[in-house]
Amino acid sequence: MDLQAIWFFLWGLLWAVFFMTDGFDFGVGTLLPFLGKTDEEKQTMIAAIGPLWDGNEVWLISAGGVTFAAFPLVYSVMFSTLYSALMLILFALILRGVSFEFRNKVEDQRWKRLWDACIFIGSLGPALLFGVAFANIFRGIPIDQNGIYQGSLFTLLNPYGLLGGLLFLIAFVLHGSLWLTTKARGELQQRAVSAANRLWPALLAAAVIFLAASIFVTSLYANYLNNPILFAVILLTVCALLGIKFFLAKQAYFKAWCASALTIVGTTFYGIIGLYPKMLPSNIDVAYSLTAHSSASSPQTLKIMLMVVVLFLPVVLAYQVWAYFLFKGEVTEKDLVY
Amino acid sequence: MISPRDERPPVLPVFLAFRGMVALGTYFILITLYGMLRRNKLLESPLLLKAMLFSIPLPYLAIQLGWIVTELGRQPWIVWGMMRTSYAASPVAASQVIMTLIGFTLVYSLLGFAGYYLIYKHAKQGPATAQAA
Repeated sequence: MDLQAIWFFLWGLLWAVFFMTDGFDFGVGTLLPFLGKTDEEKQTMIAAIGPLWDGNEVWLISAGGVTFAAFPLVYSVMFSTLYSALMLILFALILRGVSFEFRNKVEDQRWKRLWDACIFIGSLGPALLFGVAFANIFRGIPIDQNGIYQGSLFTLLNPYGLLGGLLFLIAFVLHGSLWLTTKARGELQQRAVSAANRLWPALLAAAVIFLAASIFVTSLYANYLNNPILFAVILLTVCALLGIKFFLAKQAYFKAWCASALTIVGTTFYGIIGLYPKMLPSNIDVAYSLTAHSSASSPQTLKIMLMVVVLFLPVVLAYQVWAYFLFKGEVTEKDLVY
Repeated sequence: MISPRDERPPVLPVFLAFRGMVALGTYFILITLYGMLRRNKLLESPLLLKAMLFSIPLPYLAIQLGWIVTELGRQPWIVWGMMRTSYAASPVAASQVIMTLIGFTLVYSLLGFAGYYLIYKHAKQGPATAQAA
């Protein structure tokens, strides 16, 4: 494997870890108006993700940073092409982030309703838009030979793009409800369990339709047909998806969440493997596509950064795992200080 | 070294912003020193306390003036002497940029109002209850 390929899969891994971690707090935020009947339940839901959501968003910054440092051409074309979508995500994340901080500062129903609405929109919006963005990358984007986008925000809202958005949204909301089953007690936990049970068939349906639609709309399967061993990734992902239901039925909620995490990582890699070596495929002419080789930084840059990653990724992973370990277990009353 | 005419930034706003920033910075130093001198007689100095209260927004203004100096002052270059700002602009439609500018203005206005509302509320409570909470 050459340097560019290593960085390509590192790029994919960072996106996968971001979706796996921030995915459940997007899910919990989206579920806030549906599962939190009382103010205390809402506070429990926020406390369940309170110490973790901002750490999870670090993976988004790393993914963006890696794109900038390793594949600067992809970075510039991606941010111009997906400009409106990424700006909407940015606004959503800003509003959501402050809402967690502001919500409980004033004991007033209207005040809390305002920030709860921001948490809901700020969680649902990015979940949907990341799906739309990635489905469009899988499908191909109308970029010309100069890497200039020949479309608008509405070009992205094609049926396959929207299907991708729906797939991500359902996956994240299920992921969030499973997180709640491990963090909440009593009625709230029961509601989370029944939400997970109802969301699972929807995710299964969306995943099957997405896998089938990808045959007709994308060229993701070319790599798989050239190396049939890669179909193992899809098989593993489907097993993880079935595992969610299996563990839910056995009331092994943490295992069900892990299966859901594996499903999200597998789904991301399903697309990343299919894309390789393309990073932004053009659907005007496949020759205009940006690839890991055509848009990478110099080998010198990639080598130096690889050393930085080898040194610092374990540190970041260690403190993130530590944070999860520190806040494991159910949310209790003393945690409702967020 | 005098730059050619087409490589000069708009001078007047940079000139005013720089002097405004320096004046504010000098004011901050002086009012701090004066406050230190009067530190044991603060409650007998209503004018100083009022001046302090109404100075709260000034550091924000100083920061903005500083940004005007650096960002406007280096025009028309985005990388001085190497790349012009006009060459660095992304191929994004102006209509989209306007929409996000409006978006930023709305989002930050909301957050600004909310933030000041919280500061106002907590300041109104006074130090005694703040300590209890």
